[in-house]
Amino acid sequence: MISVNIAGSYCLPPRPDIPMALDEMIYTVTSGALRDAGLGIGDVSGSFMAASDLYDGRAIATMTLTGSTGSFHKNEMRVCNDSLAALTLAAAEVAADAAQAVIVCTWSKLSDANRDAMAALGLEPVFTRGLNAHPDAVVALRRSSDLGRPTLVERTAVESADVAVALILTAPSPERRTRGTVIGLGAANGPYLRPGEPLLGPVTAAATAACKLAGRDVTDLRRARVAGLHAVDDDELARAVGVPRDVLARQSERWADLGYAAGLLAVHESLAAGEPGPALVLSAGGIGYENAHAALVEVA
Amino acid sequence: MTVPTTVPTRIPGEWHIPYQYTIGTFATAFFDALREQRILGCRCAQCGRVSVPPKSFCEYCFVPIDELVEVGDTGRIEAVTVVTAPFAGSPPVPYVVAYVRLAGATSSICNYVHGVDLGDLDRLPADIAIEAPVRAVFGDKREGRVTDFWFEPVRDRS
Repeated sequence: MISVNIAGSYCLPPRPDIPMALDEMIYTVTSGALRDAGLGIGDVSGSFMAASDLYDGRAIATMTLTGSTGSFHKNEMRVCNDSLAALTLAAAEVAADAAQAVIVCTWSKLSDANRDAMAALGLEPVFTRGLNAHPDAVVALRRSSDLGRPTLVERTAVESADVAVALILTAPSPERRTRGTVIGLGAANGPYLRPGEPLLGPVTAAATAACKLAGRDVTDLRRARVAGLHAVDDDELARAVGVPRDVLARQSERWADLGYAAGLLAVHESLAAGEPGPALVLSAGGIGYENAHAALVEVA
Repeated sequence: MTVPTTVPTRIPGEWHIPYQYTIGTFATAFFDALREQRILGCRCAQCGRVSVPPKSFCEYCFVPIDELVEVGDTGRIEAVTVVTAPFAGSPPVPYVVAYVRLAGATSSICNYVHGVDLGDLDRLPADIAIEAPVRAVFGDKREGRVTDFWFEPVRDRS
């Protein structure tokens, strides 16, 4: 079991257009999370961020956003992956006693971008993108393999969203504020694109790993909060995680694509909801949900 | 001076970055063979899996592969979807995309399925059921691209 304190949390919740520059959005959540933790920028030794150059239109966003992420003259680590991956790296640094307090932040600002133009770039370039099929066909094909029947890719009302989230992680200390504690983390990848393995196989593996690290059984879970994964219904998800359906909490389908911010937003939502008992937060990124992460959080 | 509360200005920007992807010797052999209306896979000496398209290593055994094999031009649908949502650059909707396991292969390859009646999307034809037989059909003008071939239903199942 690990035990990393979440001392502060702040979020600019999803909206079609947050009327701020990206660095203003990031500064708003990082400074807000520090305030929530009762800390100042001098108290943290680094910043862990999850972002996509493709989605925010900035090559190597770490270099252009250093001021707002709070990493100026500090350790900085960025992942091009779901924000639960950034949470994992940050928690590892604190758990290893290499840092006493760090920022984890993530963002998506799709109002600046053309989502359709980016979606196709998520495909493997030679064999798959060359076909020019609809990117949503990837998940639909993997679901077809799971279900044993043809599936349909239909036009859905997709609303792009702007969102930013930050958490402050600290080593456990009676003097520090506690919003919650990260007690388990897990991650798993499935095969890229091709069918033949369950669509939710990586989600199951990540959830299992997080529970195992925390020394908890899945039956202990009082809440499983799911980021994204809108192509999968509640029953399938409940089966994949091994929890009753009423334990699941889903993010709004209105926001079909929160980018890499989805996972950390789900952690923030879990803290804000004051969920009793251990809450499992799940996300699965990748164009076919191949890349899954899980975090087990005890909400204070 | 206070900051005026107006709607922030947006400054347009674009990235135009051309790429020339190096595809490696196995994929090169695959695309060269498409020009000759042949489909190649690779066989792992350790597990015996025949993967299409071929790779220079086995993803399961994590060992190098050095054997290319030709697979059949008929196969069975392993996963299939009908796309009714238009997307920039896509073919006119509706269209069918499927993963097909070709004869002699243990993995499947993705491509379009043409020649399917999609007049009633509430009753999809048996032509595109899972395990339905299909055949790879090559175009007259082949360029060494994945679009050199597509699948069509095999209706004579005798």
